[in-house]
Amino acid sequence: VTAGGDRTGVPTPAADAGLSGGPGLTPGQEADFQGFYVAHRLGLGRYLRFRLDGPQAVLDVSQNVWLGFLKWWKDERDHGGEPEPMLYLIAKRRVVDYWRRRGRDSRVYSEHDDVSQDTIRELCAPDQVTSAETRLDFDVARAALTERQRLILRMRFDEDLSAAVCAAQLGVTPSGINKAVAAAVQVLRSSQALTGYLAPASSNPQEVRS
Amino acid sequence: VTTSDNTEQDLAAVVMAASFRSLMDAFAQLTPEQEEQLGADNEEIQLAADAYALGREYLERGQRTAAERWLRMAARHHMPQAQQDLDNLDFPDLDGDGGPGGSAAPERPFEIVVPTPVCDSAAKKWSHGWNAVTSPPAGPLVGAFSGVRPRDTRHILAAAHSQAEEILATARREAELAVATARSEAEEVLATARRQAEDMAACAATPTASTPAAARWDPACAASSLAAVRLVPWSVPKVWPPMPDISALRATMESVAQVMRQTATSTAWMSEIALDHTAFAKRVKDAMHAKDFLRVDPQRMPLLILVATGAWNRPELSTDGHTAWSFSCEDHPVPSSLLGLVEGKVVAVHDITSPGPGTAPLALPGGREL
Repeated sequence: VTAGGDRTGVPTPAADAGLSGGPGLTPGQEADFQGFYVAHRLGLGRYLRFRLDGPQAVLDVSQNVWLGFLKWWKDERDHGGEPEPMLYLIAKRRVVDYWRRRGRDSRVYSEHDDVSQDTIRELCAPDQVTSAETRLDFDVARAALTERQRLILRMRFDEDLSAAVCAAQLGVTPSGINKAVAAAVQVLRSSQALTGYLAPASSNPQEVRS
Repeated sequence: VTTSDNTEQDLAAVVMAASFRSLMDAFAQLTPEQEEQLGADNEEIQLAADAYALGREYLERGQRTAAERWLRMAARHHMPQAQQDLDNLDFPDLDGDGGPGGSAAPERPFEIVVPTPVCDSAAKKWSHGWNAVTSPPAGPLVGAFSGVRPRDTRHILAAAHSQAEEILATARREAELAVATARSEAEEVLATARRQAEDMAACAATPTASTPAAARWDPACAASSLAAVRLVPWSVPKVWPPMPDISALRATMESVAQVMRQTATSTAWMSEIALDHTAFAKRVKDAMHAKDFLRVDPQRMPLLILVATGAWNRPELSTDGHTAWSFSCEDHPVPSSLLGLVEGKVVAVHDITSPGPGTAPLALPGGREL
């Protein structure tokens, strides 16, 4: 983050320590927000760590995300908007700004990383001990997924984002995310490479992970 | 599920370092202009998300025009996936999923002639990599370029550049693999040829050289064989540096083709020798199994000699207990015959040029010394 703030002029706490204060949250809003902050700060940190290039970047960008989200909380929270998807939409935008300032395409970091082997194992073969051989088979099975299916599985399970957040990030409905997850799991289960590994089929693929 | 405990602890430490109170203090210190900017950013973010969702919905319904409109709006508001979807709309064949209308690039013949007997698999790999580099863009890509709008030029160039880098990287990987395979196969052929030549030289130095006739030819035979083989280098020269561009790739391929031709020449030479061995053995066996063949005891007649037009002056293989030699009748005034060596004297065993069965053996009573 530059000394004067990011592209939008959002300041860091240190950079603007001497600025005059603006109107803050009401005590009730602040108490609500604190609960939300405590519940989601680690998840946001994980989201940013997947997309940024170091702890300091995570710290700087998360501070700016929370400032933007505080503004949304103050203006829109009472209007019934969903806070969690909005938090991650702001985070996504800040990540784009971060990489654009460095002349990079954020997609390189955010969208192209693949769903992990552990997620595939938990979805299809949770009782299997991971070995080199099983990893090869998981790789073959993973190759049968489309890029978007891999992205959805990665966001949903590797990053542990809710269906609502994934839906907002990918421009679909939460039920669309669940359908996509089910379809992806079906593809994995149909893969010849996973024959012999499969756990008993569940009607809801997400139950496998729970 | 993908992070180690240490990484999780690092992440937690970083997150916890941003305390809630410092965040609230920072928010309280925002100027009205900064806060207004944050509000405008939030509106833009929501607008971009809504536009992207609409674009995706139209896309799934197949309404391309409406989808493109909303996706463009989302892309203008810095939604990276919207730009990616637009790219896929413009170049449905670039994502590797074989989009509508996509088809494989037409194959072009490989123009460099590579000797196939030695490195057929390597040549195929080379040709594949070379085609990847030199082939024109795929048909659908060419179609995508027609009627393009100037504002899309940047995306086209970026996509083309990305594709070119990918193709070049693939070609480079395949080329390096093919070079390694070709080198291995060539060195194997060279080692075999050298081993056979050394065997021949060793054979020439065996006690059979005590025979006056054989002794006269052994040195020349061994020397010529070894000289021919030693013309071939011990190992295939390593002429393949890292390939920074297409011209370097072309030069490397030409070098490889040259080495392959050289290897093929040596292989052909060895094949000629092998064929000569085979033909000679067949002629000796045919003669020995003819009904009028003079049966001889290998103990008494350990050496057979073939004299024939075009025969090589050299030791040959063992046949049914006999050690066989061949000599050219151009050097000896003896008809094409199979001769035997008995107690230091050469006796005629069979006229291998006899046209049919029943022909008597070459009559040289009492043997005749060469």
